[in-house]
Amino acid sequence: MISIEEFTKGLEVEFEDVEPGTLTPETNYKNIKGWSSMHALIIIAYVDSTCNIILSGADLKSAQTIRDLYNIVIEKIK
Amino acid sequence: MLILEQYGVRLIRIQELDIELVRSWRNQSNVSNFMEYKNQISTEEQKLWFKSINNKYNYYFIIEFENKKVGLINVKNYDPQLGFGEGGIFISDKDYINSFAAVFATLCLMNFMFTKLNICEISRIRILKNNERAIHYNKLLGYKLLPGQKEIENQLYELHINDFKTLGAKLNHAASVLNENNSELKYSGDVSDENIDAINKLLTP
Repeated sequence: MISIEEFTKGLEVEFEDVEPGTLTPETNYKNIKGWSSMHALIIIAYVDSTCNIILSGADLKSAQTIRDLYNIVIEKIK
Repeated sequence: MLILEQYGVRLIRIQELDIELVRSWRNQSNVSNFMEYKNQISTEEQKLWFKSINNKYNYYFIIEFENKKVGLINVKNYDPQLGFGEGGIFISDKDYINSFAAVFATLCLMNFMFTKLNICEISRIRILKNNERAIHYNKLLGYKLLPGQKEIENQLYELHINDFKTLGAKLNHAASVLNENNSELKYSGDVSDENIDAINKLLTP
């Protein structure tokens, strides 16, 4: 099972333009500079490839922080 | 008429009857503020513009999402010799700015140009250097700032087909899982002098 730290780090890599070390589990990911639907799609691709879980648009809407997202993933894995 | 469909978006090539709608969008401050030309566009100017783009080298589409016309996407100045076209997009409807409309429309058009037609190797876009949102959006798609553009106001970015194949595959996969029943790229329309031969060939029954 991926840890929250690995999950956060992985997202940071996927977002490319984000300065390394700036994302934490408590980051409101929708406040990332230049947030757009492209980021949302990248999150869905990342979670699918690393956790084999499909997030929906509604999941993304309901989550505020990276920890919220992680918790949704964990719930779906159970 | 040319219509592309994928991931729940419909891209409808603009016709003369659409140009007043497009003009009204283009004159909104949330759109014009991010364009190099910021002045209000008149009806006459719009007609002239349409005359200049209603040909086989320019493809402007209305983006329809959830049965609503929400924006515009284009490939312009297509050069068949160089396999090169210039992209652009805006979402005019504020309610849809953070929706999947833009990214699904982008993938749909790129899949058509890069993969289905296989006639484009390079896509370029110009982005005002203060438009951070568009810069991030396009970098995530694989566009790279061209050398010598850093100090320029309207900066030129380029995407090569190989980069799109890598990043696009990931994005297309995610778009497909979100749109299980409509992930196939569909196209329809009439054979026309305003299409390049490769498009007419696809549209020929």
